[in-house]
Amino acid sequence: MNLDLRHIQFELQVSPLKCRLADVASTKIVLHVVNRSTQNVDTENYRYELLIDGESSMIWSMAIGNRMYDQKWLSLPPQDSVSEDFSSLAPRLFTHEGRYHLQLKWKELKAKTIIVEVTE
Amino acid sequence: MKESKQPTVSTSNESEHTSSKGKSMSPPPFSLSAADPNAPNAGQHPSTVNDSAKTESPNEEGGPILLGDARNQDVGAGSKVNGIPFQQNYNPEGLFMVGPPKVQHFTSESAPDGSNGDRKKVGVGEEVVFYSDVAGIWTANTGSPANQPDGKKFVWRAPKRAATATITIKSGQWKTSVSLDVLEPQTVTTEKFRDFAFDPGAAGAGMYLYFDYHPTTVSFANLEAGEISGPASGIEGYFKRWPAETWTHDSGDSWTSIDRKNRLMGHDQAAGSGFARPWSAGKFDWIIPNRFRVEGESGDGKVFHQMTQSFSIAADGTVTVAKGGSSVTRTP
Repeated sequence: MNLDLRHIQFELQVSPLKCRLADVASTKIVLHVVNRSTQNVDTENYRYELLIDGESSMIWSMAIGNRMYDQKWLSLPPQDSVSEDFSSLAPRLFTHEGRYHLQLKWKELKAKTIIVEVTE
Repeated sequence: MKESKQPTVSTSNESEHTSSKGKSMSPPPFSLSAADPNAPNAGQHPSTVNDSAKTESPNEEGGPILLGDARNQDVGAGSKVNGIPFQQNYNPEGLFMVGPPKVQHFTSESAPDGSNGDRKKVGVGEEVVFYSDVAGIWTANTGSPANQPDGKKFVWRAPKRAATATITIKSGQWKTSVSLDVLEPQTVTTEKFRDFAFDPGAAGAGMYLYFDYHPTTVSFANLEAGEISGPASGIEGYFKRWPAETWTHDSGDSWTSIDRKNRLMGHDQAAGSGFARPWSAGKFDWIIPNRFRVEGESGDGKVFHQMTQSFSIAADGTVTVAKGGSSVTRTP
């Protein structure tokens, strides 16, 4: 999931994309943000919404809005990047078998959808 | 502190020292020189005369240190120096002294409140350097290292948890002990430095916070701190529309270092947003365990403080988030 949004490139990294329900807890979910501009940028990470099957995830919003972060998130130098691990959310995001359509959103801009398949 | 075979003087070093602040450590405060043992203040470094030293028998006068060249003195058993029974005590450099080692200590980090480096309270994991005017065997009842065979300087690190530490140097028949209170973080306060800028019409409020760890009379610069995830409590009204697990606090359970001002190296974010219409009154709380550990320590650390973060929403969509004494309220 990549998106060039003015100066910021952000990506939601999910792996594996297919797993058993019993193994959901080991799914890696990482938000990765890169500053492609020539000046420091505030990533405004609280604006990142996660759409799951088209619905804004309250679990995601509460998690990204309520953590400790490195100061770089507020002033990310050019060509530098920051990451935050949200893997602990996996069991609450993927609660049953099925295909989950994940889409990261920043205001009105949406990134490419990725599909996570959870099997029995 | 008493030896069974020989009289021993124990002292507490409580002298004032005004030159040690910040990272740099002062040079050793003592110099060994061949002084006249009969001089009233022989051997006392002018800047380190310890008027408040606590002494025990046999020297009730504060245990002045008398240094001299043993090779040129004729001080035998039964002699007195300044009226005090002479205890002949040779240090490794061939000089003799009467009285216990003179010890001073300096923390490697200054305390955020400006306390001097020779303070008697230190933070868990703090590094302290002890200097003695004579070489000796160093021991510590806690922290590390537990001992050092010989030397005038002893670099010691406070233990990972609260304790009363006693660091002792023994030189010949004499020994001096210094006691330090080792403190853990006790509370955390927050300081808001900016609000989130949500779009007009959206129900939500958030803020950026600094975390400060107390007391500031000691340094916690060698610590990491973090929050522990946990469930919401007191869920009422609007927030009952979702399963209770929705409001579980996911802190990431990560560790973040504390800086020299006892402030978290980074920031905390506290927010509630994305609350869809129709709005109605509601609230819930998080009781967040705060924990610490010494850098290099593995495991879950120790919980030392519970911080409440509360969320509320009014029927008009006004959201208030409060945490550790800071709060933000925003109307859509």
